Amino acid sequence: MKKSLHLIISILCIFIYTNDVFSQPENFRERLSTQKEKEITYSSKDIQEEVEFGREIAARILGRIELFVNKALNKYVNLVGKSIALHCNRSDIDFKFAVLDTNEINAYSAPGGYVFVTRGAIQLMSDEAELAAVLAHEIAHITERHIVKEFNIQASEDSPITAFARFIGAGGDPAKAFFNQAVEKALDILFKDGYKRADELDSDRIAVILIALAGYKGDSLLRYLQKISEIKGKADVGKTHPVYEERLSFIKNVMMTEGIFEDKGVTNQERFYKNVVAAKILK
Amino acid sequence: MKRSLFIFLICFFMLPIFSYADDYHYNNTLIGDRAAGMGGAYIAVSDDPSGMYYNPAGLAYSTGRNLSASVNAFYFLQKKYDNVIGGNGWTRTSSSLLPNFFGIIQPLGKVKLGFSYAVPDSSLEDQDQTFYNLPSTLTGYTVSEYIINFNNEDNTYNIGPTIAFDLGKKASLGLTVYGHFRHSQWIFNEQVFLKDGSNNISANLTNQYFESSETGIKPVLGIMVSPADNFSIGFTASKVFILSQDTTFQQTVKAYDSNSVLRTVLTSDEKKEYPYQLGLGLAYFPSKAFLIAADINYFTSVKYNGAVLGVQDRRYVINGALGIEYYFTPKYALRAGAFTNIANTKDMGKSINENEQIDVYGGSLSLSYFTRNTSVSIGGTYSQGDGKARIIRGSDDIQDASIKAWTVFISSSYNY
Repeated sequence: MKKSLHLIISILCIFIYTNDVFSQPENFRERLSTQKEKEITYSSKDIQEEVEFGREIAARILGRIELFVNKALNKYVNLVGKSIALHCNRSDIDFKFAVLDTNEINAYSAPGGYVFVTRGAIQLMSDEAELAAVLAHEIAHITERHIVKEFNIQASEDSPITAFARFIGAGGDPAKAFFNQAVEKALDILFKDGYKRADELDSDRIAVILIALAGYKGDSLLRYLQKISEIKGKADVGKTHPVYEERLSFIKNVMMTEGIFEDKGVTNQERFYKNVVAAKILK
Repeated sequence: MKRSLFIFLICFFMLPIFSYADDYHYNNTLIGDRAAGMGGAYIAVSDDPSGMYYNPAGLAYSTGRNLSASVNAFYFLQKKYDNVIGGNGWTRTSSSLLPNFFGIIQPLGKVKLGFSYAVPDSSLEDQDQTFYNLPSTLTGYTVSEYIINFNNEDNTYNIGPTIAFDLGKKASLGLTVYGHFRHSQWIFNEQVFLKDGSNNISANLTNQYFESSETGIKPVLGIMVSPADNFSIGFTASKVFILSQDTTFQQTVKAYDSNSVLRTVLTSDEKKEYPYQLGLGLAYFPSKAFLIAADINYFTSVKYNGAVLGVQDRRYVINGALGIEYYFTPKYALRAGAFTNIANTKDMGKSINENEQIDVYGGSLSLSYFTRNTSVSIGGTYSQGDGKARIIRGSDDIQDASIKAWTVFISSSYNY
């Protein structure tokens, strides 16, 4: 017994020692079969699962924040959003846009094409190009499947092998339980934790390209984020985005790299004001 | 007395051999699909649900976001004893078909939670055997018929949660707390028909019943460190602590020369002792397609002498295992391994009531097929060993004994 205790203590000492001094190895445990998982191609069933997952998240978002009920404004936001979405690489999903009735300055997106922008965010905008930039940023989260990849959302396989695997695994459908857990975690990302820094910057990069492709002024996102960074702390600004200084610097780099000039493109300021004033968002 | 039947000894020869199914080895069943294919060399790998059994620290490195795995196995064991009764050999076979592992993992950031169910030992015997015209040491008698009916069930279940902490890619810590449940029950009926010189038949009848239920906990503490790229070391410590145990033994005997029946009933709450198990594993991952692992498990000696459970002195045991894994393609992986299952019983030849000592050595092989979020494995193990036994209680005869065991398993795991 004493010998055994000594051995356990010795093992613990070795553990503490090694934990301090050894260098951090790479992820050598990854096997060929898990590597294969990363090379995913998305089937129509996967996309269907993505849309269902996003629809559940969208419903939960609307459960937290009411929809801004104004048919004309929602139609306008949809037209702007869809014109941006035409230039993205996800023709397999139908994008839907809506305005949320809150003073908070923020925008949300859910997998499968659901995009929300808040009334507070629209109030801060100066023109249609800035609205397009915000929507483009959210569209990019969807096209790049940031949440889908985070939670590995994909349709269950219906191959004979999978059916057999489930059969010998005594049946059951833990996927349903996982679906609900993943929805809760996705809402945590949207309302509490925020996306990963790399995902946010990725969306900024794609948004800058999308608004340029749609013909809007190239610096629209930059201008909008500059305004947010200036009022941050004074107004109700969403806290789920990374440091604005970093984003602004990153966007400038993207514009330079991609050859996007701030003075080219339109702002459609008149049309923007016409629609938002009519909706009584702006006085 | 050799090669002859001494009736009164036969009546009592059950205890050493029937007390438990195969209590004389610690490595009777390999748990998990990947682990079983690798001969159980898994302490330094353990990065899937079966890691909860082998080394809970490995769970911190599981790659599946949510992964479940189950193993269904058919287990067969054959024990042969030479020259037991009148020169006849005696063969015991045991088999069981059951899901022997199920595990599920839930990641929570740097913490991984899991829950698993394992059946580390299981046997089911249903034996009828009849011997004819045996010699007897009773003057003027021969044994015209000797009938043995033996039914035995012995199952051990481990079920419980696991928590593992990722302390960075270089180290992790894990703890599984299994509830330990074991139920053992056997019924032994023996009928000895004696024939005297006038061909009159008299019968010696014996019925024995044994039942024991253990409830306890089995904490498994695990540590995993990666001192260098592509290399990991695992440490484990575990022990079964019996919290309560109820044992009943009944015997009813009618002697051949008497019309009276003798009945004995023994009950006990004495608790069986299990050894401490200390494990050390090494694993080398030279590429994403190849893996080699080796384990050493040390079981401490146990000294215990129960009134009903009998003498349970066990010597220390060191079991080893070696395993490899090779991916032909991202879809197919072959695993192979070798392992030992050394007897925990003491050296024979010191007393007349000794437990058998048969060291067993085995190998394993499995093939896995992977789809995008599913894997199915099929495989098996085979082991055998030779040794000695004293199968007749009270006799100084030592028999040659052998064990052959094989397992066929099919398993599945999937991410969802």
